Amino acid sequence: MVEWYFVAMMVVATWVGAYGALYFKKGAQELKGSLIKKLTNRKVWLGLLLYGIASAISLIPMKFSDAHIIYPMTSMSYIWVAILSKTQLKEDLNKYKIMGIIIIILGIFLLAK
Amino acid sequence: MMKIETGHKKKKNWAYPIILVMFSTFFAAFGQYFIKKGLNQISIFSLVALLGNFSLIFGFFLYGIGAILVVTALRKGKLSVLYPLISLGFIWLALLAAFFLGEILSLANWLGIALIILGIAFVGMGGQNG
Repeated sequence: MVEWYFVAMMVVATWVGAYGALYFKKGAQELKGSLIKKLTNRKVWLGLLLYGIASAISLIPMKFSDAHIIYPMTSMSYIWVAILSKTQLKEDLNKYKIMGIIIIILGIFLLAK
Repeated sequence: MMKIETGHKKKKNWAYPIILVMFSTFFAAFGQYFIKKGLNQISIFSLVALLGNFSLIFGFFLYGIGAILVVTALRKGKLSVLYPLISLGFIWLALLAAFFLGEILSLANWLGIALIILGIAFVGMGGQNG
């Protein structure tokens, strides 16, 4: 079985990754002007940094624990991103989206079996 | 994939970010494949080996292209619709493993692929209705 602290690391990693996606979105929305201006958007880089941190954290459980169980846990980020989309971006979260996310997570676990 | 034809001009704008993200998942999956290949060759605690490993660098490069495509898509599209589409990457990865590493996909795996596609269709529908 997978050790609890590896699971905890995946929870942290997916949360950090979800914030990465949020800042990707926030930065992407304000992209305009010259290429230099686009390439130096702080929010996009913050998103990338958070994504990098999330990947680095999740590499450890993937390397040292059962990857078949750890890997699909990255799909937790779909739940966190849905929550952040609703609370931070005021996007609507209807039953289709929620159903879709649940089905996707089920699919990912079956695919990783 | 389910698409509701509205005959509306908005439809094209709606599909564009989704197609971009789908392409990005393809790059990300190849990226991940090479990153994994690189990590299998070395210890993650050796910084020198990390920085000099071709597979790893190439993997991150492909990942980077995927990221640019995602950011482009996010300029217009909704995060709650586009983010779940990244799960397509799991399908590409499974197919890559099947074709290049000779891994055999079980019935459960194929069911998983079908569920991911179904889930994406649901999320897409949610995006249109909301």
